[in-house]
Amino acid sequence: MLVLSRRPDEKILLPTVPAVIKVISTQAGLVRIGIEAPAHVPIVREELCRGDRTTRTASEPADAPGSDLRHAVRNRLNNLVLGLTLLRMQLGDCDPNVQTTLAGIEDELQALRRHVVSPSSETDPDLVVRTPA
Amino acid sequence: LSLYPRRSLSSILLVEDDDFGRETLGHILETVGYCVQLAATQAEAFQRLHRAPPPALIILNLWERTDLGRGAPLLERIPVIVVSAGAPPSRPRAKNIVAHLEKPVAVTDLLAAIHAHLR
Repeated sequence: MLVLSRRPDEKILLPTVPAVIKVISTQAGLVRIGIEAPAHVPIVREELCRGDRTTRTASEPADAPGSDLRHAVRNRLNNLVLGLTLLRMQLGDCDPNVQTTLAGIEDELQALRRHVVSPSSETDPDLVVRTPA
Repeated sequence: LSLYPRRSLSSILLVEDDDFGRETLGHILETVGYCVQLAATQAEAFQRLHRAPPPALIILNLWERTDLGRGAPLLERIPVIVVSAGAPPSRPRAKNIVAHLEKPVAVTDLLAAIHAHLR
């Protein structure tokens, strides 16, 4: 194991990942560490590998436990919607059977959206653009 | 999607750290007719913002990045649409944020917001 000494605000770089590990603060018996890494790189507390909780990636903010899951679900659902929209555009006027399959997938996504995601109560009503159910 | 006319001269800066989301939405916007610049990080966004000409509109995926144009009067006037999975912060928001769409976003809603706020 490589052992390095770092002070608060100093960093360790892993350029081939790429990732940056920064010492945020230290106090008796506790070190706070910030990690910047690509979103796909899993970052896991050792104890969580024993099955206590789910993995967090670098792009997911440290937030309340419930909001972590909600945030992740919203992001994944968003990617599915975007991917399906782009696929439909790329296919253009394709086989009716393909159109039917796509429509079915879109219906399922809309149902998932309604069941899983509810609008944030903190959203500014002056700004929000609501999506019809 | 065909409801919105092609505006090939309108440039949009899309700031999104999720690779798939960024590339996919970028393709969609280009297909509709916009000129799209992509940025995965705040640093990339800063670089692109300070190149001439600046984008006509910015799409951001995080509220924390809404001060991208701070200190540059021209950039502070560029309309910003926030597309986020999280709620907005309680602190005052930047004045040029014109719309907020919560993920998962309907592409037709996003295109309507872009169309409404592009100069």
